[in-house]
Amino acid sequence: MGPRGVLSDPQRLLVYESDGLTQYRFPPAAVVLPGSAREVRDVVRTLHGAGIPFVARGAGTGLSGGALALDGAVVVATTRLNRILELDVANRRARVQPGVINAQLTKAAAPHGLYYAPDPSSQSACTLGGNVAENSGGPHCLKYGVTNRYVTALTVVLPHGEMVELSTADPELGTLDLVGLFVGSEGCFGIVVEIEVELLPKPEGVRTLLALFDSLEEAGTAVSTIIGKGLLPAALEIMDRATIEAVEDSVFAAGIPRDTEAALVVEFDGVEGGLDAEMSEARSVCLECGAREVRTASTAADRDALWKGRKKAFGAMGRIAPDLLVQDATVPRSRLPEVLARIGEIGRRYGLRVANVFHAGDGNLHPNLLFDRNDPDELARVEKASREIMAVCIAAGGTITGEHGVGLDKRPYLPMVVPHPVLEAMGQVKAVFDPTGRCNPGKVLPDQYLPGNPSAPVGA
Amino acid sequence: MDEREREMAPGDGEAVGREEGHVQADAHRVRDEVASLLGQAALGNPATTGRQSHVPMAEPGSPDEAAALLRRAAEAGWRVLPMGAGLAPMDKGPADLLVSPRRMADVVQYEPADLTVEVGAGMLLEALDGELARHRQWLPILPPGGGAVTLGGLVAVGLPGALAMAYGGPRDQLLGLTMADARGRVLTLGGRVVKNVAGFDLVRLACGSRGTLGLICRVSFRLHPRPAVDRTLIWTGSTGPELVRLGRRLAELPFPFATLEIHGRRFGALPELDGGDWAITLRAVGSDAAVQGMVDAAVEVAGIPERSLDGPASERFGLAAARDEGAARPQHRRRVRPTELESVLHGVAMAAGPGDPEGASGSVVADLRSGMFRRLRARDQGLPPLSSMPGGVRKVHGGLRRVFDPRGILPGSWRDGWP
Repeated sequence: MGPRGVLSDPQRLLVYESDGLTQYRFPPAAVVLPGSAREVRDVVRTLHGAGIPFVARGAGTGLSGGALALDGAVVVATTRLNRILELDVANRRARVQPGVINAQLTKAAAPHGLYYAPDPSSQSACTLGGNVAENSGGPHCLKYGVTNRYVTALTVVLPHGEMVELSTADPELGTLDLVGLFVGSEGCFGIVVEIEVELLPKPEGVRTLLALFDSLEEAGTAVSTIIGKGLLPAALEIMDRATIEAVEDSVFAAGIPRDTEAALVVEFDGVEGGLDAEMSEARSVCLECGAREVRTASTAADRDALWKGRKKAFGAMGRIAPDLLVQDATVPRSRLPEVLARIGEIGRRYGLRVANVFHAGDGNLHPNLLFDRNDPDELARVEKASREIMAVCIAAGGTITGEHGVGLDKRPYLPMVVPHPVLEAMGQVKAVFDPTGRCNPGKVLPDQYLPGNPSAPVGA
Repeated sequence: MDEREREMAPGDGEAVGREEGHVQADAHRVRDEVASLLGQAALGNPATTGRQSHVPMAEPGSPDEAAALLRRAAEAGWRVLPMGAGLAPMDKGPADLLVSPRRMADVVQYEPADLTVEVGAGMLLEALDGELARHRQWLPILPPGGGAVTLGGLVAVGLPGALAMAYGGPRDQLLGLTMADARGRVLTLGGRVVKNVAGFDLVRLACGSRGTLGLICRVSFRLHPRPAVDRTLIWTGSTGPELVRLGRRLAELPFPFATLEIHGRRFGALPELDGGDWAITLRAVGSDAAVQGMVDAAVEVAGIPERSLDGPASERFGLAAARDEGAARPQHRRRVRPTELESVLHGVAMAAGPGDPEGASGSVVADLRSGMFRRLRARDQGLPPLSSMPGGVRKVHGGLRRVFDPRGILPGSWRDGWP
């Protein structure tokens, strides 16, 4: 690998001890920076031979601790694997290395009228390899779906150091959908070294609307009514008052009155001819549901202004509290108002500030718990409140993670939504790829289901 | 004869791989055991599979019953073949027991406000569609077989279908499923919410697994609003490659057409396509203004179409094309790059030629955007053989099968070198 390819100086390892979820810190034993797929294979083969655990890492923007190096693992960083290998415009396909940044692919495709659909909020930093690991979503997955819809083939290095190509289910060959299984496996089945994705043509037109409400419930009702009318926006996003205040206090101020209780962003895209009618229907719905103001935009610059507050919400929260726990849970859309009310009540009971910014169209909530890690009492309350919020979402028929993954953080919650036989099957599937449990150890499944654990169920 | 041809050959059912040495279980005994385990109600009519007739049929009434049945089958070593409506050319290897989700055909939960539905796997797609239509919603999946497929079969087969480029295929619209595996476990996978990454994605693994991992008992999907306007435009022509070039120009438009396909030589099965050996079908759905916008743009590129089908006629044509494709035997699919379609279809046109009056070379359908290419009723396949599964991937497949079917009682195991 050469001296550039390996980091072991403790100072330099500090960068890799944490990811987007800052309450956990685990310095890796070393960091390896392979420059090609073959180097990844050789590194993994060597680590496997030596019995050393390892974990792949992209940009480190993950929000569930998935890329943390537990058990003295070596980090295999994809930073140098950052080339777009092929942009096949005519077939609307791209082949990329895992370290390519999400937004860079869209930027490269843009001159050809194409784009890559999944757009997580971290898209200017996060890598496509990380997106594959997490099955990332984003505001526009309401209409367009998440990462697994767009990945058509993968080349991966299996935990014993063999490089293989994975495809989707093929009835002619009798193959299973190994791409579908691998996407979202959180780095537990191997390391992705090449990704083939489908690109979409940029929609002919886009319209965006920002509606301001005096209550979160009114905004929630507007969302249900828009869906109920048979409209399918590309995005339906809500920010609550705590978020709006944080945004307006920051350099990202979007000009939303600070006493607004909820701001709803509605975006339509598609055939130019149909957009104005859809937009005016959504506008009427918002006004009927009590919106005090509705702003609309059709030019790119105006749209960016309306999106600004939503897109910069996480950054803005840094101003109001030193630490932030971004929660992630999905509930059936019709249960949103009651779940939001319960979350507000939980925050008040624990004396915590909770700022909500979420994908309302999908029922995907992101309650942000604001705290100061130097205050141990507050940290303890954050953990209790977080657990209660999860319980409320599950009771409403939801799940513990919509797009951030289980990683390290949600492991204890997994048995709350996944029954024992399924956890057992997941552990057995993990063992097919990684019988010794050294590929991203200690993630996703509770210990008793992980291969290598003495109490794990008998694997395959 | 390569494996692919063997799979597709009519009347296939001869001993292959794992079947060697297997002694056919006594049908009466199997029936008696099913009846004593699950009651008489769980005994369906014996059916024919491959060259075998009177194979006992079990119809468990719940996921728990299905799991108990598969556990018993694994203990006894019965070869089990899960089947839905029986339309898909699944593995027709010998079976001791057929198992169908027919009695699990109810709506388990339908919440129109959430645009999600959970149903028993034995429900027919057309029955679900009727239910959804009452709430102006739909499940935009149009698999081979059309509305006559079971929802469990649709998921087990997992083919993308004619609407996949606009809406995604079954794998993209499936939120969760309940499956009984051959260890006798009931696996409730995924959920009813539209975004869910809690644990490894066994839902995607089960989709398209063709009965090799277990019997799918329940499925849940995300839904879409039912479009107000539905229109299909049809252009016909006499030369395939020329029409492909036209179709590719349509495919380059930045519009989410519901369907954009080329059909070749479908000889009377679809009267709407009469007028030439080849036809392009373009289906646009959505609001009135959106459909008009798409149609105007398409006409500008391709000229006035021979036919324009509106509303129910458009819907009926889509279903008829899917039904015809499902009924075609043999059928053969592969995905090529859309830019390769011209040369692939040129090859088909050459093979057909003037000396093919009965259409022995069959008909073709291809999705102009995804490159999903299907050859129907072709006696001469005329395509290069597919490469076999590479070793590393084969091992993963074997391992995954073993997780759900350690005794190898479910179909298809012979294909990947099982055990």
